[in-house]
Amino acid sequence: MDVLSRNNVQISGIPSKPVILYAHGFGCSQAMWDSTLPAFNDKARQIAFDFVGSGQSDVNAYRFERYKTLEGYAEDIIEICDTLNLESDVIFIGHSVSCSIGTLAANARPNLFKKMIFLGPSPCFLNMPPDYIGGFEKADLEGLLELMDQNYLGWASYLGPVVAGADADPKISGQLSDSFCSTDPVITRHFAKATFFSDNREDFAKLEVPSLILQHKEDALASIDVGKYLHQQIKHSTLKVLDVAGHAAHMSHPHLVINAIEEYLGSDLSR
Amino acid sequence: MTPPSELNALPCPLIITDQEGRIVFINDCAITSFELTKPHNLERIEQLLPAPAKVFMQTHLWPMLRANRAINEIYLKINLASGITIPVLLNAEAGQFNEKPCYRWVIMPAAERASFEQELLKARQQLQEYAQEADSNRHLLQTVLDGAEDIAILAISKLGKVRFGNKGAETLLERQTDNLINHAIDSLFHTLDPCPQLEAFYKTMSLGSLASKTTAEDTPSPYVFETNIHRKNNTFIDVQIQIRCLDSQLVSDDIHYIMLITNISERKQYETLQNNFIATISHELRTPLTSILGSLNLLNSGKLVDLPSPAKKLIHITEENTHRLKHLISDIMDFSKLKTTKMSINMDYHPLSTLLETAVEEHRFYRIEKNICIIADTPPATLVYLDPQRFLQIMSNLLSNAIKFSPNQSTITLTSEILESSVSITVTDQGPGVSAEFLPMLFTPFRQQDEVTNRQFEGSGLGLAISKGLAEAMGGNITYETAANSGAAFTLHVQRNAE
Repeated sequence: MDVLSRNNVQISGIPSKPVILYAHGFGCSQAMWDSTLPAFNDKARQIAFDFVGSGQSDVNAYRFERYKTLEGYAEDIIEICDTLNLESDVIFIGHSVSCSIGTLAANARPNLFKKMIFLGPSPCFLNMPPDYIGGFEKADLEGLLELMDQNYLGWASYLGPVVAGADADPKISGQLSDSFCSTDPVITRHFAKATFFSDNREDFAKLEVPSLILQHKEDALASIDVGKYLHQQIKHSTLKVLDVAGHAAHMSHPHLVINAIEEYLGSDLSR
Repeated sequence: MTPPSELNALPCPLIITDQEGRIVFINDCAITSFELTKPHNLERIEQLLPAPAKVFMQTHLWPMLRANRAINEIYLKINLASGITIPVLLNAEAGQFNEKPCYRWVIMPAAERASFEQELLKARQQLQEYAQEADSNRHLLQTVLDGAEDIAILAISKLGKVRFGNKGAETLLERQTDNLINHAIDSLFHTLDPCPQLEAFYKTMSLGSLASKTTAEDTPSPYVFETNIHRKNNTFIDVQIQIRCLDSQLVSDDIHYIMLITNISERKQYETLQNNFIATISHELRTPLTSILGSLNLLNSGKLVDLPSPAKKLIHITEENTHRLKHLISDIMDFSKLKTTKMSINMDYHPLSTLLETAVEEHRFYRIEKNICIIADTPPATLVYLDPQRFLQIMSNLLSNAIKFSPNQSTITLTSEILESSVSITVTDQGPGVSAEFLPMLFTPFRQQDEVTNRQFEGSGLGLAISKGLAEAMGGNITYETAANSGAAFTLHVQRNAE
């Protein structure tokens, strides 16, 4: 099995420089890092990839059993590092659910990562009263699955072409089936379940890698309280709140994210 | 820049946000549709969304909108001020507002669309279920039809193309299905002897749509006949063919006829055996009868011995019954010969008038007993093409039947008429005629009307069957109709010319 093509691994930057591994969040692909990558191209060896089932990965390699939980995705990360002979000193940058996935990988391979940067992390999306407020009830997340079904199987693939009309711009019809997002609705649903119904609070608590938590100021998915909670749980962590509304500052405000990364990594990148 | 007044006039809800989703404009239609107050107190577009939609917005819509600068036909839900959640259809695209980059969000309430889509999805599911059901029904039907292995079942279009053939058809016609379907029926098999019924059927179809309407209805349903068809290896099999013209209301998929072909070779073999047996045994029976009759004749003549009167009477009865026995055996022999087609027919031209005179003359003595008068019109001066011996045999049967069933002192009329290619000779009596119930059995062997009570009329019940067989063997026919006086009227058709 060719891991590099399976996960659509794209390598850029300078080979001799420190390695940065970028992991995308649920719903999209490595394309989310398009605004971030250029900033570090002369300072690092940059590795971006798609999780199996997302982006341009090899859908045939998807195994429902393996990717039932986030551990399966963590294995993707470890296998990519193994294939590239990366044993240590990797700088991990993850978005959203990838923060949990990266943490699982870090705990499985204690020396693999040198530093980790979490953008909009949430160890658990569900409310677990009284100790923890993830922000969502089970019904909310089931509502999300329903919306996805409607858009993947309903409008988008069934009525979408009819509604959009023959002269619709092909670029903007059937977007959810685009390579930009996940190509397979069933797989995406499976990923959504693994993402939104998992509870990785204990895994973050075990994390030994120094970490930067970048939380959005107004984030519907991961509130500042969730960021504070994580800051408490992770031993060597720094919390920084970005003055951003939304859940993907690397797309909406890439400069803020780039600045925060540069500031945090500092001398790590000037080797 | 588009003035707000124009945006307010738009008939759809429109919201404009900055690049981070902060609302900078809401048009009047949106205010109304989403039950907002004016001025509204919304800061961000996400505030309109219930929790699941907020997540979907973050995981899918914002990334797509930023990457592609537009999103299209997204199904979403919106919270109204009243707390109700309604389905909406969302389109958004990047643009300029007040000379700043913005996103324009067009949010159409889609309750009807959503239910319409649900209906469509349901309809599609239903359709799939129907298709499955139809498929399994088709499978069941195919299994049943294929199970009838020894009968070929063919569905035929109006113009004679085979639309369906079962396994039995493949076996009987020695063809694969793909060598059967859409082939013309008249190309699929060939009869050993010419088969007029099949030819008539093929003609019906070749006439096409205009004519088929009438002729198809004229075709007796079902249309049943026997013939024989060629098989590979220079063999042939006897078959019975049934053709049914489908009720026009049931006609579907261009299927107008159903043809059933049954292999009756075995039955035919048994029939042949049986007929040969009858022919042989009848012949063997007739030989001793001839010598019995000769002896009785001698005894009766008084040349050998002078018998007392009571003995003479007994011998007379014996002689009479021996004649009847001989007659019966002759009938059976004729019939079995007809069946085995061993009957010799010598066709030639003969004057009709002479033949009819002879026929009537032969019955002169019979009719005297009952005081029956035979009135024959003057036959047309024409030649007929037939076997005179067989013709007289038929006439004798028709006349003796007429005499047999006529009351005393009644009249039998004999009329003849020249038709286009034939001559018809009709024998009409003043008897009871044939009852409607018996009509279908009229020409069937060994049948007599009112069999139980009516054995008073002598006869084997073979006469009409033999006569019809003979008439057909000469290219003619016998038909029956009830005469005006409710007596019986039998008409014999004979050919005027050799075909």
